[in-house]
Amino acid sequence: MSTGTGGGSGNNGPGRQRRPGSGLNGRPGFIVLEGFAGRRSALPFALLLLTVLGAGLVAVLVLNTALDHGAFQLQQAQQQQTNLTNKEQQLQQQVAGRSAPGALASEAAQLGMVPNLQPAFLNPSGAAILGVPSVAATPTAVPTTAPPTTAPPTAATPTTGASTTATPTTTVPPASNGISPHPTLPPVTAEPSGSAER
Amino acid sequence: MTDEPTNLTRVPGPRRVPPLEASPKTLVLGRPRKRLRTGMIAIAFVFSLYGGRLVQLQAVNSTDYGAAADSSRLTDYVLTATRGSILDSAGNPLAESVGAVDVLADPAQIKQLKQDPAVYASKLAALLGSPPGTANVAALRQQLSDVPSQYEVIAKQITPQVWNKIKALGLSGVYGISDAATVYPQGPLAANVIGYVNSSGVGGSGLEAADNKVLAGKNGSISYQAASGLEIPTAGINEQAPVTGTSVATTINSQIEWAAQQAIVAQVQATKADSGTVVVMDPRTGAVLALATAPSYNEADYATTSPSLLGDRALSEVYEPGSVAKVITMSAVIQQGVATPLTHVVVPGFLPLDGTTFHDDTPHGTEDLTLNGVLAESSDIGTIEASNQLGPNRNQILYDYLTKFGLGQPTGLGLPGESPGILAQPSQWNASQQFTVVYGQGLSLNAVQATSVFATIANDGVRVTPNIVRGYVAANGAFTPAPAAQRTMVVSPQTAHTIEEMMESVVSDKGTAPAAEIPGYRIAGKTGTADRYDANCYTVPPYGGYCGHTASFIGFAPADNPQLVVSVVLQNPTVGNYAGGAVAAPVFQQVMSFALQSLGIAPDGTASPNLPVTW
Repeated sequence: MSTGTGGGSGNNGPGRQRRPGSGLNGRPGFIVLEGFAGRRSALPFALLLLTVLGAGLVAVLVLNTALDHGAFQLQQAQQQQTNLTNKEQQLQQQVAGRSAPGALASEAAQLGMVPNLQPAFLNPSGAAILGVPSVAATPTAVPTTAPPTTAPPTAATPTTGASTTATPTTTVPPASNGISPHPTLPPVTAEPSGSAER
Repeated sequence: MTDEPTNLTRVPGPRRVPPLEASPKTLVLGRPRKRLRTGMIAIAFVFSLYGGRLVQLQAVNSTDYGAAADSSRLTDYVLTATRGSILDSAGNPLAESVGAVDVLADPAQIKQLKQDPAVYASKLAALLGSPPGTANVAALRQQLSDVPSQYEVIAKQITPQVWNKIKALGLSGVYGISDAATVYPQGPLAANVIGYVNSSGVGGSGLEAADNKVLAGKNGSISYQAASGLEIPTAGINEQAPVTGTSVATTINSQIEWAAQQAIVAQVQATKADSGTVVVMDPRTGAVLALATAPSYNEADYATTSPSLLGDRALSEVYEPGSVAKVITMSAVIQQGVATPLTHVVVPGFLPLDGTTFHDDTPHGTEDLTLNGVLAESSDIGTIEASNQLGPNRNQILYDYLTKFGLGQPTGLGLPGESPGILAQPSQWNASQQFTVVYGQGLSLNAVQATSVFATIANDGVRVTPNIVRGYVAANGAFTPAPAAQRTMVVSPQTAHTIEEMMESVVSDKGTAPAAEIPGYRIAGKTGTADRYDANCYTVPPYGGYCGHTASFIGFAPADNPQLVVSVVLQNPTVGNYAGGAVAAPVFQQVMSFALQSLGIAPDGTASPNLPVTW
């Protein structure tokens, strides 16, 4: 469709060219006209379209990647949160297990302590004794109750022999040389070796 | 396109044939019009099929197909609500729900992937079991190679930490599903009060069942579009967050509960009793601080526990209280003004009344006791004589007092399986029953009701409905207190005070329970040694009858300013002395000593009135 024919009138527009020797002698002649595209190629326009298309595709790709990246980050953060929550729960259970009355009683018994069957109180202001104090019983070696299952195994417990030598009735003053009469328990690590209970 | 017209014109056109061979057939020109029409019809038919199918897809079945497409893309999950905790009086959890994982295996898939079940088993066994590494390898191997099966539960409710380790092994065909576990951080403490949660996450007994609606919360849901199991980021999520359950804060003091549990378990073993209960109550608030029973159970092992152990004996087991009920009779006698603690009572060795001859537990000649002495020595005859002073309306008056003290009525704790006991109308009391009720035979109650009678005396005659829930803690930490307990005046403060002083004589060398004494403290209490009704007493009909005894002791301290009531009941102690003063009073002494120290209740140094028991 780049060429066409037309009448003799109005043929002076741009882009038209007379062929040599035609219409000059006064008779109507055929004029070959060249179209718009003859002077401007369609290529730049096509390139422009391609560029726009390409840029759009790249933009969509980048956007999707960014979204995916965000999703992955979110997933990771959520995973981390879950892990930390689980860890917190586990540690709280350990604390609760160790501070449960049964566990405390067995720890106390390991240290050579006995329950006081006769309550008595000291009034610090008047130094009066309220109640009738009594001498504590000699501790038996092992408490009757096992600590709750959630309590981690006590890694290093003082030997029963050591605890029986220190009679609870004789109050041992805090040793000034820094040596405790009873072995101190090791600090509780965040995750002892036997942490995966149950 | 240029070739076709040429072909079309050539094919039907006349051919040039060699002149020598004439064609035997007549050649007929093809008719393009007809052919076109036939082609058109054929094409139209084919397109009409397409069209019909389109209508079917888009108009007739569109909803179904749309739903099918959605379901293949949409992923739906139930977000399980976290169950609320049950807290002790200090706010520490007695039972709480934590995240846990069930490990499942698909043996068929494991075989298909040509994996060795033995290797799987040894790898899993190293992580499973309690402590880790104690799982049975042979059993695991058996499960993992159980080929036709595609669903084997390898481990239930393991911690997320252990599951992460299993996941890190990368075993194909082994899966984990989330399954919240209820844990008991303080061990099996107050198991009968707390109750267990069954495998569907519903409370099966105790508070877990009573307050299940509050504790359960509300499950949520999440649905999103996913491709190969991964969420499509831009497709949107429809999420309804789960509502975490509300925690129930109880009045249970863990330490006193533990001490009570230890003491009653030891005594039930020592006396070879059928069972025992200890109830500790604050008389001023009606709050139950401990509700221990033996034998008990571990909530974590509820599935393997005998159903008879799962309830709460302190509420479900009713018994004839025996002499502890004399406190109610004495309250009636003193409140009605027909006697005082110093009233002289002549107690004969036996007392024939309406065809029945009554004896005291220990044979004696005629004794000159004060009313105080009748209670201190727990004389049945003396109590009957005192009750007969109530006049013609005696039975109705006694019934009214028994009812006002809470007998025959629900305790108010609201725990499942409670029995209010049996208190017959006075019109139905038979000839002997009208006399036996004054010393606690011919009527029955549960341990919490019995404790509440003494709490009423301890609280200046005002009965506070027993309660065990102090409030509710929402997920955001907001505390809603439980409705205030109902308070009703049963006897006047003066009467309560008089009864309290009489009960101090019981816990003395003159009374039946010197074993309950705590030096330095004023203790008021009463022993009970009752004949025990047993539905399986005889091997021949009628099977029911009186076999064995119920030994009990209920008391409070400090007597002049009561802050704690402790009741101890032992059913059918069979070794040694079965009297309440011998087997129940020492448990009282032990639990009360512990509780007084635990709560820091010091004696105030006042002296006991030491009322005379004889005249």
